[in-house]
Amino acid sequence: MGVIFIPVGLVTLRASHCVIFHSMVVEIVDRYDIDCVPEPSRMDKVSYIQDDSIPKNCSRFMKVHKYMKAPIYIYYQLDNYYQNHRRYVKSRSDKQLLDGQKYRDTSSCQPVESNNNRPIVPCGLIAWSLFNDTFEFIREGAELKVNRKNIAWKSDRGHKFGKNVYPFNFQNGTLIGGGKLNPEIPLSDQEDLIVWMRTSALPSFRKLYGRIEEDLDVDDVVVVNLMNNYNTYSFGGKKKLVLSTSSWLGGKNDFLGHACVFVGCSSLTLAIIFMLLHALWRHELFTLEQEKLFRVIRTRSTYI
Amino acid sequence: DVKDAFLELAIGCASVICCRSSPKQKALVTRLVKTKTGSTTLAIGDGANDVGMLQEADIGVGISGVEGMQAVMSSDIAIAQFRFLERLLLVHGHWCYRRISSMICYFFYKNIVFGFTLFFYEIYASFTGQAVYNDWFLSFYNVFFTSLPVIALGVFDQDVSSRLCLKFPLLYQEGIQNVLFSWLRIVAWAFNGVLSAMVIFFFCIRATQHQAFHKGGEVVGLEILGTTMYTCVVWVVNCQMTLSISYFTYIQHLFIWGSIILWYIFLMAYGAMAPSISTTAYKVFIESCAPAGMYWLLTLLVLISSLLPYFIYSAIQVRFFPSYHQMIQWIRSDGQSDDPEYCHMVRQRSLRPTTVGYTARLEAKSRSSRKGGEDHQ
Repeated sequence: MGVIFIPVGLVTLRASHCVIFHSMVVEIVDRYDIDCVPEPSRMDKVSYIQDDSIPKNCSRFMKVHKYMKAPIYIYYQLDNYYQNHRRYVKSRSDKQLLDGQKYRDTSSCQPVESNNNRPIVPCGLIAWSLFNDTFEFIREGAELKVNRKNIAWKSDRGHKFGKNVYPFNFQNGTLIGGGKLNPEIPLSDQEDLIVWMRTSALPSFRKLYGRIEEDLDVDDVVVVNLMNNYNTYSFGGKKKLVLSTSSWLGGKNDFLGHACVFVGCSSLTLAIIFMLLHALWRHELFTLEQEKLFRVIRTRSTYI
Repeated sequence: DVKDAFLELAIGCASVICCRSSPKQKALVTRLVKTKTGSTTLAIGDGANDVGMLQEADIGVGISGVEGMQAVMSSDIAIAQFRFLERLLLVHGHWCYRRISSMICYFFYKNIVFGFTLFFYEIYASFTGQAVYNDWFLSFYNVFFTSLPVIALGVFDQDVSSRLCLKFPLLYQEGIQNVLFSWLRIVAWAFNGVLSAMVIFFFCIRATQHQAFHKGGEVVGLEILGTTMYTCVVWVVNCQMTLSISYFTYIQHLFIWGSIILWYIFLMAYGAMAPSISTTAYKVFIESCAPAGMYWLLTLLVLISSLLPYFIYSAIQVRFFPSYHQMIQWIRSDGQSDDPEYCHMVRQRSLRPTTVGYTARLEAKSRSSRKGGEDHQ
C-alpha cells in the first residue's frame, strides 16, 4: 500500500508548482461587440455592421489591475464561432497556398473557389471569413507600439504559405465574409491570415493579434481605439479583446492549478485513510484472511 | 429407451465406469452427457477407438504414444502422457481463461476510451463529424500504439505461478463458474473506459481552451489539441495495462513503454514529412508541443487523474474483498505457501472425490503414512 504514496507525492509537488506559476500571469478581458454599437442601432446590429457608410470607430478603456511585464500579448476572442465545423475546416486548399494560381484543383474550396471565372487566391471559406477588426493602444496620450510580426507559428510562415504567392481576386464577390488582403504582400508575410487559418479547436477561442513590448504598471488606463468591422451579430457571436502576459506554462488558466490541487489532496486523504485502516487491522490480518479462505472454499464447493 | 434413466443415475454417482464399450458407444455416451446436462465435456484418449469420443466432446485431448497418432490428429489438444492432464487443466486452462477474459475486457476498454474522446469532441464541433485527431493518428491507434501490450497480456500473463496453481486446485473453479467474464465485469470495464475518456477529454479542453499554450503567446488550435489528447489517451491506456497485469517480464515492459515511445517517434517522423503528406501534423510535436511545459504537465495530470479511480477500486478490492487468487498471491508474498500445515489444510478443503493425478496420489500416500504412524502408536 506504500505504492499509493508515490503518485501522491508527485501530484502534490506539481500542484504547488502549478498554483505558484499561474498566479504570476495577469490577464485583462474586455467584451466590446455590444457596447461598440451606438445606441440607436442596437435594435438591428446586423444592418449596422453591414452598412459600409457608417464609420465603425470605437473607444474602449482597459484598466490594468496588476503590474504586467513585457511582452504583453494582444488577443481577440470570439465566442460561439465554430471554426471546427467539418465543412469549414475542409474549405481550404493547402497546395494553392503554396503554389498560387498555378495549382488548379481547388474543388475543396467550394463555394469560394472562383469569382467571375477567375480563381480566388487564397480560396476557401476560412480565408474568406478573415477577421478584420483592428486595434490601437494609447497610454497617457502616447501610442503603445504593437508588434504585428512573428505572431504566426514559424512552420506555417516558412512552409505552408508560399513566398511567391500573392492574393488575387480576393473578397471581390457580392458576399463579403471578412477582411481584405493587400495584393502586394506575399502570403507568407500575411500573418493575420496565417493566424486565422490555423483553425481553432473549440467554439470559443482566441487568436494572437500582436505584442506590446512595454511594461504596464498598476492603475494604468489603456485607451483602445478599435474598428468594429467584423460581423458576429448574424449568429449571436461575441467579440472580446484580451491583454495577457505569459509564463513557461502559458497564459492564465486556473483550471490546471485547481485540478492539480484537487487530485493531490484527494490522493493524500486516501493514502492517509488507507494507512490508518492498514495500521488498525494489521494484527487481525492473517486470521481474517484464513476465515475468508474457508468461507470461499465452503461456498464454492457446491459444484463437482 | 433407457437413455434418460441411465443419465439420471449416472449424474447421481461420483464417477461412472463404462467398460467394454465400442467406439460408437463412447461417442454416444459423451453426446448424451453433453446435450442433456449442457455442461462442457472433456474427453481424453490415446487410441483409434477414442476418436469418436474425442470429436464428440467439447474438448478432446489426445495422448500421443504407443497406440499411434490417430487420437492426436483428431483432438483439440495433444499431450504426451496422461498425467499431464492435471497440468493442462489446472495451470494452462486457468491461465488461458484469465488471459482471454482480461484481453477482451481490456480491448473494449481501450477502444471505448479512444472512441468516446472523439464523440465528446463532436459536442463541441456541433456534431459535424470533424475528427479531433489527424487521419493517420486514427488509423494507427489499434495497429501500433496500443496493440502490442494487449498481445503481451494475452500470451504471457500469469496471475499465480504454476506451482501454486497445482497446489490450490480450487483456482480452476474460477473458470467453471465464469467469474471473470460476467456481465458485471464487462460493463465495469466499459464504464472505466467512459470515465477515463471523460477525464482525458475535459481536462484537455479546459486546460488549453483560451489562453496561450507557449511562452511565445501562441494559442492551441485543432492540431495541438488533437496531438495533446492523443498523447494522453496513449499514456492512459498503456499505463492502465501496467495496473492490470500481474506478471511482469521484460517483454511486457518492452511492449508497454515501447508503444509509448513509438508514439513520440511517430509524431516526430510524421511531422517531419512535407506538409502535403502530414497536413495538420506538420512539425506539431517539435515546434508546438515539446517546448510547451503545459503539454508535459497536462499529460502527467491526466494520466494520474484517469487512473486514480481504478487504482482506488483495485486497492480497496484487494485489501478488503480479495478474490481467491489474490489471497493466494498474498499467502505467497507472506511466505505462507511453504508452510506444510497450512497448505495441507487448504488443499484438504479443496479436494473433491474426483481429483485426478499427482495430487491425489500424494494425498493418498500422506494419508496412508499418517495412518500407519497412528497405528504404530
